[in-house]
Amino acid sequence: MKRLLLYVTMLTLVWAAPRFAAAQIVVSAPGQQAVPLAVTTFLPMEGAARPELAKEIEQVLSWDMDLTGMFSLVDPASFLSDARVLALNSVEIDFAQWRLLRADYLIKGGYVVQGDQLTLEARLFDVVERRLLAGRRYTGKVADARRMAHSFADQIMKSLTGENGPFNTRLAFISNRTGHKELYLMDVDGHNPTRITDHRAIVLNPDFSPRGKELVFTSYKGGNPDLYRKETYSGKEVRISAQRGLNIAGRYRPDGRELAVTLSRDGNAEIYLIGTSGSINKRLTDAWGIDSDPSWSPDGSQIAFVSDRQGNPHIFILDVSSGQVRRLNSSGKYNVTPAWSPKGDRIAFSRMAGGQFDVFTINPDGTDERQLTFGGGNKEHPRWSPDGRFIVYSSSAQGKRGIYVMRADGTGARPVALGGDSSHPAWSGEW
Amino acid sequence: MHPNPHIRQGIKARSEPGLTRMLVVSLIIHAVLLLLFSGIILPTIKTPPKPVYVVDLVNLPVKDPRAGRPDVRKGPEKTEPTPGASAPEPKPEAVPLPPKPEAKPEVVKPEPPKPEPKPEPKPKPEPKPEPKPTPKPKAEAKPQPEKPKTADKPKVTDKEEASVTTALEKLQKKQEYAGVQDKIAAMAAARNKGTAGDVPIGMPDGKGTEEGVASDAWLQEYLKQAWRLSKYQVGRSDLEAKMQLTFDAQGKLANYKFTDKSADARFDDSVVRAVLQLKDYPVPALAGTRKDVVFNLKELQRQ
Repeated sequence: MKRLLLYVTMLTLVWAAPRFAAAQIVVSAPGQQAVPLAVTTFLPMEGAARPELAKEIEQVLSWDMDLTGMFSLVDPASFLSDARVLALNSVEIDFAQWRLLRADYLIKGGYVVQGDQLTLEARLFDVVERRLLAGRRYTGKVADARRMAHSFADQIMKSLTGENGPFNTRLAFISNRTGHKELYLMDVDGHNPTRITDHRAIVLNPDFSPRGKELVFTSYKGGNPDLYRKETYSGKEVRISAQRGLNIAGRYRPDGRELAVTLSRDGNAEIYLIGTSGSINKRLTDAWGIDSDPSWSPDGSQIAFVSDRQGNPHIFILDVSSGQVRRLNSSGKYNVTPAWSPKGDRIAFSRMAGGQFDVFTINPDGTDERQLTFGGGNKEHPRWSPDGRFIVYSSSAQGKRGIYVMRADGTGARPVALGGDSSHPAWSGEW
Repeated sequence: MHPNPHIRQGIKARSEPGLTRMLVVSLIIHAVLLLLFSGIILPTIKTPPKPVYVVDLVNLPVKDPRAGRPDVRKGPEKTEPTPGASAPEPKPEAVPLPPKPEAKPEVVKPEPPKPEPKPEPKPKPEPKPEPKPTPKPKAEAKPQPEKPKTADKPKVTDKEEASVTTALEKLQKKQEYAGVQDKIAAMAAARNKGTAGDVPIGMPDGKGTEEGVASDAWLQEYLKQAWRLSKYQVGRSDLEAKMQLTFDAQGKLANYKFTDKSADARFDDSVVRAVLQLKDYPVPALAGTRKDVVFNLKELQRQ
């Protein structure tokens, strides 16, 4: 009898226990998905003020932060007195003012200009927790101010996402603004465009080396589409592949030791693996159709490429070690220019439908296809930023083709280069 | 003695001593369960409330809300009793201060409990914030024309800025509370005038007698508004963190701790930042309570 009563009591307790527990309050989404950020104008720490310089730094930071899509920028017109105080540590800052403006994060900084030398102090503060999140001191020339600001934007990304930002990198692209298609470099926001070839011929299809400041590209300089390598820091340029026929679409393997390239030395365009000096290491494809536009998976084990072996151009995935090939997707009738994301989770490509190209992304297993661009004009040649958060592409939405950047989900698209006819962008790694 | 032999056998079996004991035990169990369900022994036992989505931050949180609807509005909005959420709308209503004098006499009572537990100083600070903001822009503009007094400038500016800041802070809080006051006034007016008199004002799951939202529902909405996180920051939407919040006797957040962290430090950090905003917002209805809060991104998964 006693045992039975014990069982009954235990059962009752088991039944009643969850009912004693306090009810949980579930908050199933943040109320605001853009975090308020205040970007203040940097102030002079010594010497005369350089308002134009401070404004430029502020503009760079604001542009970079806006592109991320993570922030809503607090209107500078609403700033209170703390914005005019050179306070670079959390003790000196009047966080109450920033709380009042509902800013969650705050960027402040100061500078010293001596001759053509610039010292920049930049800080990111957490307004809610009243603490410093990131701080950097940069020294260099006044002309490097934009790079310093981009570099700090990368630090902000590192601090708030755990991943370094892509803002202090470079975009390469082809433009005919001199009358010939030449290779250019520019900042991610389109500033400082610099022509780095003078071939006075057709230059095509650049790709950055993952190891450093060098690129490969195709040029008709010698009459044939040959593959060249150029060091941007020294200006040195070498022709590395001059096989008969096409030497196009060179893409560095992620380890930087080899390249996948399309050669038509045997009559049909196939993809080959070549050394950085141009020696042919391996033929990767062997099909009757044209195989081109290789793009490496980040681990270097697979290549996405375009082939018309089944009729229209479509994207296929090649396993480099086994040579097995599979078609990526069955949708669309004309899919080209694949670009494997650096995180490996998506492949961007352009599809022609209704006589117009648009940019899409898809999982490497062929699922979850998404269209990223819409509207008029051709949107082509997508390439990923090194952190996989952004995509650069060419678009003729405003008439002539220009270079645009957008977030990886297709939002926040904006032009960064509109002069002449610009196409075939590529995004460098850490610069 | 029953004429049917089978039934006779059954009665015989039922009268066996082991079975009697079992019957007694069964009776006891049933009695215990009955008591438990009826709430006599364990009156606090109740099923977890379903999440409430129609919550307005400008309603005062109370411990025992009345049954009804929390979204009844004042003025012309009464004519359209839409059942949707009304959280962001009352704020713009509260921002323009001019209408306040009208509402003040009605509002005096609900004002004291919110900003600070001590109701005495309140009537006094009310007029202060209003005149203070006006000199602010003038004071900031003044230092420019004054040429010689460079030494005096920072002192004046600091003072003024400090006073302006505090005044603005008060003003901001006051505006938040003004929203609450307006709401309460609207509820009272609606009750008196009868336009919304038929509409019960309270909470859908309310059972008490007080006007206002349930404290849990209020807390849920407050934390949601205070929680800011970009999907680009975390990159995945299957994150979840659980926190336990403890409120002191004044209803201020006294302590918080994670009972379960998510797999992403950025997510956890954003949650802490949201919770910390409760520190300067005492809520009497939460005084002395402990709340378990789950933060996740399930609404984003559906998008």
